[in-house]
This record gives sequence, C-alpha cells and structure tokens, in this order.
Amino acid sequence: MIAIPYLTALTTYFSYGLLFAFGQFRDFFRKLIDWSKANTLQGYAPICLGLEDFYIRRLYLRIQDCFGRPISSAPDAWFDVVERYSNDNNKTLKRTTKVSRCLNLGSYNYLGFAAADEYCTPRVIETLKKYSPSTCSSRVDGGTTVLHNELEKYVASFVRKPAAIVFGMGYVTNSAILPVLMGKGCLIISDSLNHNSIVNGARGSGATIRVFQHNIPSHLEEVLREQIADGQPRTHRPWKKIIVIVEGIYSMEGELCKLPEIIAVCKKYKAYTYLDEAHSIGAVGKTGRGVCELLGVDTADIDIMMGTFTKSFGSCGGYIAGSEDLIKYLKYTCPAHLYATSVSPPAAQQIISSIRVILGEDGSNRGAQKLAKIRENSNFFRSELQKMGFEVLGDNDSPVMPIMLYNPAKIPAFSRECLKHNVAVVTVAFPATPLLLARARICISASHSREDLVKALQVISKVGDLVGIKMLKIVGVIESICVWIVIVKSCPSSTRPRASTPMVFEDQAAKVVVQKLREEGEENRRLVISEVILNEWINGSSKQNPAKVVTYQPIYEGIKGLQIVRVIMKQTQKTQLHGVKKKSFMGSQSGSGLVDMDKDSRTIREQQVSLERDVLVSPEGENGVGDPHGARAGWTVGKKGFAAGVKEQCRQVEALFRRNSLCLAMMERKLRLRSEPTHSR
Amino acid sequence: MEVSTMMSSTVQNLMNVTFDWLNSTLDVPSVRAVVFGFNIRGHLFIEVFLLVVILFLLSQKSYKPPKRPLTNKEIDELCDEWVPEPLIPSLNKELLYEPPALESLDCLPGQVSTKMSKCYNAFHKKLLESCTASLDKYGVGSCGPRGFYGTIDVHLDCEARIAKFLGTPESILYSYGLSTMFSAIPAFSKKGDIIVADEGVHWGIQNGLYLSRSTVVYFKHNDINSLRQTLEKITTENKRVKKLRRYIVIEAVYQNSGQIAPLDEIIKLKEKYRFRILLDESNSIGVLGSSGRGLTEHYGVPIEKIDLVTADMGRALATEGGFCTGSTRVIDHQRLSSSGYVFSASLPPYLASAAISALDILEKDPKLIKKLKNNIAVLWKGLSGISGLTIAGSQESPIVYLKLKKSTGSMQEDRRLLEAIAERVLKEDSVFVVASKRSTLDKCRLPVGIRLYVSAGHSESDLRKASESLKRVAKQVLGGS
Repeated sequence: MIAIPYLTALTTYFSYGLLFAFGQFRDFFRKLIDWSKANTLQGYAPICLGLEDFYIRRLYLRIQDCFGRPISSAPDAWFDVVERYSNDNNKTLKRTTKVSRCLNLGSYNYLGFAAADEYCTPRVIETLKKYSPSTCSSRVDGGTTVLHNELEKYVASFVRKPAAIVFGMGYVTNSAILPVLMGKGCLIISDSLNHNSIVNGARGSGATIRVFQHNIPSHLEEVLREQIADGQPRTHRPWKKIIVIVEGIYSMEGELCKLPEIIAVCKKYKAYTYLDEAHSIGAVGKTGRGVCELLGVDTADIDIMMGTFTKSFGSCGGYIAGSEDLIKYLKYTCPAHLYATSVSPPAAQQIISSIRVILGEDGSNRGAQKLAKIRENSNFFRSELQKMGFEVLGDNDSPVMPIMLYNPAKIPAFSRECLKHNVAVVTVAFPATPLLLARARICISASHSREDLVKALQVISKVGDLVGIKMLKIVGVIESICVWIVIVKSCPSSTRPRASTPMVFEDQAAKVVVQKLREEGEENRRLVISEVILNEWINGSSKQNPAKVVTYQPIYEGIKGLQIVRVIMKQTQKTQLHGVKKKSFMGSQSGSGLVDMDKDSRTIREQQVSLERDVLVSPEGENGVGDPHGARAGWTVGKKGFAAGVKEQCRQVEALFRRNSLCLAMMERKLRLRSEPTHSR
Repeated sequence: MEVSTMMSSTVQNLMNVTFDWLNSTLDVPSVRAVVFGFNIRGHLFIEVFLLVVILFLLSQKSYKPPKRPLTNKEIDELCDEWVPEPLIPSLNKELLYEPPALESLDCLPGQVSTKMSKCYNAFHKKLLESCTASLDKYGVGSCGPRGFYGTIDVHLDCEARIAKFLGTPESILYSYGLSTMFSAIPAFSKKGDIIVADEGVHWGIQNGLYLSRSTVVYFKHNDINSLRQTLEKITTENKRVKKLRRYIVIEAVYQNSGQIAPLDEIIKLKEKYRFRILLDESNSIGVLGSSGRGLTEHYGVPIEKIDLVTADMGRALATEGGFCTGSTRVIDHQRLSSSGYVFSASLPPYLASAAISALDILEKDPKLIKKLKNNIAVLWKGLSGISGLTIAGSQESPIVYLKLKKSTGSMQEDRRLLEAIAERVLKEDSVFVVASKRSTLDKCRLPVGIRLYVSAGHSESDLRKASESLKRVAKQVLGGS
C-alpha cells in the first residue's frame, strides 16, 4: 500500500486539474471550429469518445515521447534508442536515423537472455532452419511439433509440476484460461493490483469477482469467510468453487507476494490458488524457480501456476502448469490451444535452451552466475536508491523497483532528463497505474555490470535532485545512525569500532554522534546516541521539521543492538510526519521477517493524528544475512505500547544475532561503504 | 330460565354499581354527556384510558425483525461445511486426444506428409534469411511491452509496410493473432453501444464482443437478408440509436465454415443504416483479390469504407502476431486503449521482419496467388462427388470446409465420424487433415467439419492424392449415402 503525503496528493490533483481545465478549454474551441465546418460524421456517432479519448488527446500526447521509444538493437544492458522529433507539438513523432547508446533500465531482461547468447542463439537459428518461423496452425491442427512437446516437459519439470501447456502469448494465457476454469456460480478472488490480463480473463469468465486488498492475507481471509458464509449473490446458494489469484512479483510495485500466508489461508478455506509468475519465474529463487522457491512454498500447494517466457527467458509466450488432469482438460477445451497459432518454433527453442542454461545443463555454471548476479544487482541498486532518499517500492531480491514520482509533470521531466544522460528508464502513468501514483520503474538485469549500475545511480541521483523526488531524505540520516548503534552495541568488544575510528560522515547528525561518543564513557554511549539521534534528526540536520523530542526512554534493554525509544512528536507538519510514517511500513517490509507489521501498519494508517509513538529500531532481518549489500536497519513507528508486543520477536532476533556473527561483519562492511566517499553522495 | 334472568340481573346490578361509583367519583357536568339521546356516563374515564393505551403503545418500539449477523462460530461452521466442486470436471476418454507431433514443418511436397494446414502461401527461403538476420541483430524476445522499450524499429517498419500494402494510413501490430480482435473491439465499443455480428464468428471475436459489454445482436450466418432485417429492426426500434456507436462485425473468410462474406452488399447496408464495419481478414489477406490484398480487393471495395480491419498473421503471412489497420485516429486510439497492445510484451522482432518479407514476396510475386487459386480449384474439382460430405465453403475460399451431408444430430457424434476419417486418411495415405475442434466456450453452433487449408506450396498431384484419399475413406466410413 502506498500512502501519498497530503501535500503531494494536493499538488498532484492540482496538476491534473490544471491539465484537465486547459484540455477542456481547448476542446471548447476545437468544437467551435468544427461546428463552423461541415459535419464529417454523416450520421455516425464519433468512434472515439469520452474521458479516455480526452486523456489521450490532451494529456498523453503532450508527453508521448516518453513512451514507446523505438530501439534498434537487442534489449540488452545497453541498447540503441532511436531519436525522434516532432513538428507539431508532439502530436506525431518522426523517427530519425540517429541513435543514442543508452543504459537499459527498462526491459524485463532479468537474466540477460535478450541478447545473443553463446548457447541459445545457434540453437535458435538451427531450429528456424529446421522448422519455419511459424507453424501457421493451431496446436491441434498440426501446430504441434516435437519441439512443443519437449518444451512442455521442460517447463513442467522446471516449475516442479507434473504437466504444463504452453501458449504463444502471456496475455492470452491468462485471459483464455480463466474462462475455461471458472464460470457462472464460481467466485474469483483477485488481488487488487493484479495484471490487466487476469482482470480481463476474470471478466470474460462470467464468474463473480471479488477483490482483496493488495497483498494482505488477513483481508483475503475476511473476504473468503464473508463470501463462503453468504454464498452467491441473491440466491445464496453455495459457491461452486473459489479461486484466489495472486502474482509472484507485482510488476508495478516490485513487491513479492506473501505467498506462504496466502496459501495457508486458501488451504484453510478450500479455495483453489492461481499464481501468476510472469515476473518472478526465472528471476528469483536459488535456481530461478520463482517465488515458490524463494519463499519456501511447496509447488504442490498451488493448483495452477502460470508464467510467461517474455521476461527472464527472453522469448515469447506463456505457460500453465498443474496436475496432469488439469492440463489434459485444458488441452481439450482451451480456445487458445484449439484456435490460436502455436508458439513459434525458434521461440520455443529459445525457452528450452535458456532453461537448460539456468539449470546448468549446458555444461557451464553461467545460469547460477546469472541468478547470483541479478540478486546482487537488485539488492545493491535498491539499497543505494533508498539511501539517496528515493521512495522505492518493493521488496529485497525483487528486480523490479518503482520510484514514486506522483506529479504528472515529473513524469516527462524524469524520463527526458535521464535519457539526456543516456539512461533509459520507464515511466509509468495512467492507465497502467492509478492516476495519482505515477512512477518510474527500474528493472535490473543480470547483464548489468557494477559500473553500469553505479553510472545509473549517479544519473538518477542527479536527476532526482533536479526533479525533486527524493522525498525521504531524512530517513537516510536515521538509517546510517541506526546502523551505528547496532554496531557499537552488538560487536564483541574486541572488534567493536572505536569511537576514534576515522569516519567520513557527511551527515551533520552523524558527526555529532561521533563527537559525543568521543566524550562519553563506554556505558553511557547508547543513551547518548539515542539522545543525539533524535535531537539531531529532529532539530539539527533538518531545520524544517518542527517535531520535537519531549522524552525518550529505553524500554527494552536486554538486547544488544535493539532499542526502543519513545518519542513524542508534534503534529504540526503533517507531510513530514507522514513521510516518516510511510517509511515505517517500508522499513518493516524490508526488515522482512522481523516484525509482522500487517496489523500494526494498518492501525498506524488509521490513526494518523495520534501523539505518542514508539520507535522500534531493529538491526537487520533475515534477508540481509548473507547479502553483502542488503544489510540495512529497519525501523518502525508504532502506536504507544506497540513495542511491548514486539519483545518476543526481539528475543528471537537476539538469538539470530548470536547465531550469525556474520551479520555484524555485514554491518561493518556497510559502514565502511558509507564511510568511503562513494558515488552515491 | 331463572338462572339466565338471575345472571342478567346480576350483570345489570354490577353495571349499575360501577356507573354509580363512576358517577360519584367523576361527578362533574361534562361526564354526563348525551349522545343521540343516550345518556352516556363516565366516557371521560374511557377516553383517558384509551389515551393511556395509545401512549403506551407509542412508547413501545416499532416491530423490527431482530438482526442477528452470523456469529464467528457459525461462519466457521459454514466454512467447514462448504465443499467446492473439483477444479475441472472428470475426464472422459474423448478428452485424451493428443495431436500428432510433427518432425518438420515443410509445406513443400514430397516430405513426411502432405500437410493441409494453414500455410496458404509457401514462401520459404527469403523469410528464413530475414528471420536469421533479425535474430542475429535483435535476439528472440523483445522483453517489454510496446510502451516500455519493447518497440523495435522493425515493428514500426512492419506497421508501415502493412499500411502501405493495404493502402491504409496506419496500422498497429499485436503480438498474437487471437488477442487482436478481442483487444480491438473493446477499445471502440463500450457498454450501451450496439454490435451486430455474424453468428459464425470465431472465438477471438466472440470473446471481444463479450468483453466490450455492448449490446450484441447476432444475425444468421452469412445471410444478407437476416443482416438487413436485424439492422432495420435495431434502427427502427431504438430511438437513441443515432447517438450510439454501431458496428457490424464480420469475418472475410469464416474460420468456422470457409464461406466468404458478401462485402459488396454489406457495404450497401452499412451505408444505408450508418453502421461501421469491423472486418477480420485473418484468412483472406494474401489470398483473396488479384494481388492478395484481401476481401476489399476481391470485391473492388475501397478499403476506406471499412473502419477497422484486423488480421492474424499466423496464416498466409507465415509468421505470428496480428495487426489492425485503418485511419490514423482509429489506430492511435488503440495505442493506449487496447489492453492486448498496452499490457502485453511486443511481437518478437524476427516475426515482424518475417511479416515484412512475406509482404515483399507477395507483392513481387503475384504468381503465388495465382497458384493458390489454381490449387483451390483443383481441390474443388477433386472433391466433387465425395460421398457423405459436402463442401460448405465458397469457391474462392482457401478453407475448403467439408461437412457431413446428413448430420447425426449431435455435434459430438459428428465430430467422432469426421475424426475417424481424418485419422484414417493420415494413417493410410499420409495426408494430414484435421477435423475442426470446438472449445466448450465456443458459442458458434455451425456444423463441425473437416477443414482443408490449401496452400500454394501444394502441387497438383498432392491435392489430387489428398482428394482421392478423402473420397475413398469417406465412402468407407460414411457409406455410399
């Protein structure tokens, strides 16, 4: 869930309002001119009408150069973007022959199979010569080659299901399968942010559709209970069957699905599960087998697994994997199988070869390297972006990271400025996102080198300053100091960094911390730090934040590296505080596994004006362990008294810390990273 | 008798005593009222009593059925009791059909089998060259939707090439044939709009019609009179019809029957009733017309009269994907409103370049189309007099659709017969033909049949062999009837 700061929401609404007003103004004159001319419609109703058409003509066309930029090379880590120009205020864009070589942060080329590959490409070309570019017929009408059968076997074993069926397009996979499985008297419960293909498929099925709040298992349970108890609308007959549809990685949020919890709920209520792994298959998990592998879910618990080959495998098409009976039934009745042209043989070969590479069946370890690389790249990039103060959505390990832009004017600004510096980013606006939540989306690939990413970060940081989207700057300071606390308090005394260790902190607050540390004795340090942090955070480093610490109080002393401080903030500046609160959810998400914040984050959202809050500073979630760059402190603002409930979890964290002295080393390394004059500042 | 008088006197006495008591207690002049000559005593008391009763009743809450929401325990029970149906119905033997897997895909004769599949025009070598070059340059997939760096220059070239070929201002590429129509229709037709569609349209269109939520009226398959009546009825019945968007949705060559739509007459009706036409040319591009420009060329109708032309490129163009072509306004609208275009990864670039070279070949080499037409004629001639089956399609159609002369009455039974024929033809004579399959979702109720797709790659002897074989097997299976 994204909570928009009030001020931002206001300015965004204002911007759209202004665009709308000017658009209507221009439409008025357009009508006058058209009226004086002869009517061209001749008795037909206009073919395009309504707000949608208005949106395209008056809003979208103004910035259409930011979308659909043609490229003239493979969508690899670097690609050639064709330059375009317009002579009529962006209404039409003409291609030039000039290209600019740009860093590609837009394509879903997660594993880098988009470009020519030493293993895949020769095989693909061989296949092309043996078969033709297309089978020219549907699967049942002679479009099934041995290659297709082989592909289905490979896919089934890759996703660990007994059988699979493949289609020529991912979108069609969703929208043609759902009508086959569900019909009248059935219920589809869909995540609120599911992809359009699922929405269309659900609509096409004629089943009743209910939506649960994005990625909140407790709400799913609520909906399920209500629906099972109520039955079908009006007749109150029991539902024939219920299916819950979720995605592995949400493409516009970069979030991982809370699959274990959702599966547990579905099992409890006997609902079937449908998992769309369009973005996650191949991209996450130790051997690239998607979210199930990453989150430790048994694939047998999922009834229908869907995915696409467009992303990680660099091909086209989609699959459904499930029980043998399910696949047989689909082969008998699914219109996409019976009527649509089968997967193009070279594309099928590309999928087979890339799966072989991922599994190491090509005789090299390139697949494992790619998987390690994308994880490392994604986590590095995400943590750096967050440090810079961008509002980045999504979870660790996810290669998709949206940066919130909100204001419509920032969409073209961000996109064009980045392109000027030869970094191609995707900006997303309505209709792909809600109107207010425009964002830039970055997709990281295994083919990006560290230098590429560093360059991208430099450019994005610069452009972010220019465009004004570093909305959470204040958090960066806090975070660095939290890490400090963790290290000071949790290192064994021999390895503990001394106060005199030379540190290059640019943050004013941090300097004061170091200064204070030098002055104080060992045992008082912790207290001092918390005092300094809060004072500096609130009064020092950011003058414009009038919130003030009235009192602080270490509540829970028993744990090294963890502290809970009670803060009372003034509610005078809602935006700032809001920003802080919002970050708190994100902190909790990235601190994954530490604190289950579902409930608490909702209570926070509900009680936007309450005075006393506990701040829980936690060192590191499990995810960070073993990840050289993801080491990051999470922190959470909760209701007064909330902290007490976390004590149990704190104890677990303590145990975790004892087990993993590794974690401390991570922290130290991170500190070193910070202390070097890095690219990020 | 005595008892009753006693009773009455007792009652009278009692009443008298009561009234006396009342008179004495309420001895005010107003108590003694005279109504219609009767002296009613003590009425004030009764009025007060009634008032008290009314007040008492008013003070009571009005009756509401008690609202008792289900308790958690009850919901738990309901949840426990609920038993879902199985995800899929149980499978019977019929479902277990496995299509034969092919070792190669040559449309050329002399190979494994004489294939009767959709490659209407066989152009091989140049296509392969352009595909290989494209694969080398762009890789296989485009890794993104058109809006987000999934637009590759060949896509734009291909769109321009299609527009040039068909003589339209602009066109738009879809990444899959099936999704073309079901994305394009909902982009233009919304709730309340009217669509008149042929009852024989294929599933892609049916799905588009359903998703558009428009008012859909079907007319009899390829029946111009039925269309006229439908249009007439809609126009006269609905007063608001002028303000609504109205469309006629037809296929050029019907996938489900092989018939060609009578476009010239439909155009006349369209202009009379002011409907727009959405035409699916999947089976006619590269086939009909002297230079393969489809149904409009076949009838000599200017293409501007058709508002939206869609086509699946997985047929005559020997590639994949689909396109939609029309005026600039119509095409540009789809670039943001058509869900299959916006939300799907774009067509793999090598398939786009295959389409470009297919069109190039088609334009350069009109002999191919002549050959195809000749082949169709040969097959027609060869199949004439086939026993038990009739050809449903039109004479020029590349789909030669054989349906049963006498249906057994059930579609399943029909299909079983046809499948038996197809199987034997493949087994005995290595001629690959297919009986049409229908999805359970398909609303089309036209008779099933054996679909023969004629290709320019077939030689005359192939076709003769195929028709001979079909004739022989049909006779054996269906008897001489």
